[in-house]
Amino acid sequence: MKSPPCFDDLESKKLIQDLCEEHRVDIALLKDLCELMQQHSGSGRKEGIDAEIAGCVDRFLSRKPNL
Amino acid sequence: MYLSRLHLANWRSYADATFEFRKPTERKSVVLIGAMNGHGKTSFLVSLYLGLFGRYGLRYCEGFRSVADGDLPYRKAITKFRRTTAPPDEPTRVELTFTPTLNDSDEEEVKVTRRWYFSSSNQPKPGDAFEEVEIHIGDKILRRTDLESTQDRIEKHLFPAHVTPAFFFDGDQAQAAIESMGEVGLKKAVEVMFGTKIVAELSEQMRQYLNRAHSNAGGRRRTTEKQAELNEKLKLRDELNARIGKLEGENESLEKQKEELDRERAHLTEDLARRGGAFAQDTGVIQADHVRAEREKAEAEKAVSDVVKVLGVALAVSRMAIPVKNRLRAEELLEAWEGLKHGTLAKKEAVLTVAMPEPPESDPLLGNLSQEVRSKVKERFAKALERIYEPPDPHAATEYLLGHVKGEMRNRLVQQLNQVQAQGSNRIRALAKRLKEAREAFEDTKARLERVQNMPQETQQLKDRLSKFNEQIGNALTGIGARENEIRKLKADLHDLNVEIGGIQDFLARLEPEQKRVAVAERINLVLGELNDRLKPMTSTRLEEFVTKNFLKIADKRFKNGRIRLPAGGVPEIQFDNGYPSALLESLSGFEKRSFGIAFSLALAEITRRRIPLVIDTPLGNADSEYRPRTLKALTDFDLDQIIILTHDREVTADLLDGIDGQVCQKFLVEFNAAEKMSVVKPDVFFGG
Repeated sequence: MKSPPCFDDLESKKLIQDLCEEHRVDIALLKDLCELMQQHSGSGRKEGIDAEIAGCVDRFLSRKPNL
Repeated sequence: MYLSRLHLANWRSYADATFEFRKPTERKSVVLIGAMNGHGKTSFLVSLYLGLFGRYGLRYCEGFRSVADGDLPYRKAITKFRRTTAPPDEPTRVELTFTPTLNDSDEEEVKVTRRWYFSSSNQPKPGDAFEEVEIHIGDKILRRTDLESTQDRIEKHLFPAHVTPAFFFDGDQAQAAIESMGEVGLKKAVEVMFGTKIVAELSEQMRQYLNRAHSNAGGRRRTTEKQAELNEKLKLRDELNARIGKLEGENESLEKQKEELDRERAHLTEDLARRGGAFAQDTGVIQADHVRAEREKAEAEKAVSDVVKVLGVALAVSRMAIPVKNRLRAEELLEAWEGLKHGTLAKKEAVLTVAMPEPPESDPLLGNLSQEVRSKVKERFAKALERIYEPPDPHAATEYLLGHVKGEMRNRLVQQLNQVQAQGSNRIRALAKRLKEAREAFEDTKARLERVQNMPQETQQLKDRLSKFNEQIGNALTGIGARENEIRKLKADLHDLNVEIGGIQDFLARLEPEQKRVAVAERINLVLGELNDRLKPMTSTRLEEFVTKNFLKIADKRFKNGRIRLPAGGVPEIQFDNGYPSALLESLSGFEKRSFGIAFSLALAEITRRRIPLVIDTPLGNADSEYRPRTLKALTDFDLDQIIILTHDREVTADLLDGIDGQVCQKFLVEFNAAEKMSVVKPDVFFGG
């Protein structure tokens, strides 16, 4: 699953980067979560999504242990 | 990606038909599929939606958009697409193969086969028995009746269902799109373009997650407050670090400047020292040289003077030697002449006696001459004898001035004169040479001395520059010192802050992992909220630019200065920068509206940057003779791997075909065989043979 196009477009990518920096999260976490949503999008199947979100956040926390 | 194969079985008018598409090239990417009305163009287009995405594709099919999502409407719709004369035991089948091109060579070929099964009474089979999907990803095969998971697979390896209207559409659909554009259209465009739908869904999902997580993590307030405090401190720490970084950067720059100044100063000092040394050395040496030269000059002058004094007589004689020698020579010649004359005269009578013996009788030759004649002959002989000494040598003196010097004495005197002359002139010449050299050496040392005496002025200039360098270096050191003090102070503050942050982090660390996740999720939620708000206007502007660009390629000259606006909550309009009043696009003519629809779809396709085939059913529709070539050119020039145009005989006429023939990769003609009641696909054939 590819990331949403806003992660590839120069202008929107810059916006995303700035927001992530401002709120001290990384763009990889946001991408992971968007891809997670894409996997669940449209199908109505959302079972287990909380655990998957927690998994994404845990991976982020392991990347940034000081946050 | 390009559509390399489409197989339709029991699908509307297609009993069992296959389109085998050649691999397009960069120059030849267009596929023309000709079919008269009702012969299978729309069935082709719809098969792409439903074959790929099943029930999720139905919402994008013309005539089915208003059909509610759900199993029953979907089954009914598929029943309508099933060939009416299909044998009950044969499923309706759509098989699509997408093959990578050079642009996406890292992808794998994807084949999707979707089958719908019917009962003996040609009714959809119940439950999971109705539909089956088989997916080939490269060499791997997946056969699933779990349609949702297959949907995920297809979207993962091809493209999301919601972008298909930007790539697979018909002209009427494009024309109609304008009427439903406005807020809804823009929102959909934004969703397609930038994935904001996903962002919005994620935002909502995170909100739900947070609600559930807070309740599980022992109270939102305490975590949030501590997290907020931590956030504040971390922000402050970032600012401090940034300030320290800035100061360190400035100091680094100042250090570099100072190093540069130090280097310059060292060069200057070295230069000055060298010049100072050179000056001291030069002055001493040159002054000594100068004194020596002056002394030498004086000595040479004295020597010349002494020699002149010593050799005064000799020199005087020497100076007189030549005229004296000339005089002596002339007197020698005179003496010789006188000797010759006296000798001749002394022998004159004897000679004459021999020449004319006396008495005449004794002269047998001239004895018979008269006395008078004999006297005359004798006189002639005497005259002839005078020619022996007359005239005297022209160089001979006429008188004796140095008559006391004669003969051998004269020779000795000439010899002595030669000696004195040679001796005096050689010495004088040597002394003159010495004097000349001494004078030159003196002049040279004098000039060098003057040059060296000018050096202190240059040295002063160097000293001035050195002073400026010292001042600049001093300033740099002051700046560096001030910054270092500030950095020390800030680092002390940073240390205190880190202690406080450590305390809060220790506190948070003691909390459950869930609470840490919550803190991160809160921040993600803030990002998503702002992203939602700010992506939309950004997207709207970009979309307007792309739609305008594509619309102007198709539209006639009246719209040359136009710019499409897609106002939020309003209908699209075209504004002009030449003072013309703006016009609502819904007020345009039928094909102008269709042009806008096509431009809009192309803009979406372009912005999504996905290499998906573009499939357009009857793009030209009711276009006039001027719009047709422009529209066709805009479509065929579009930068995609494959462009499939479904057309009837009045659309892409022979003259239009000539205009794009160089870009056409392949043609098909689909004809409905009335006898067999099925559409037949004829490759490499088009209208008119």
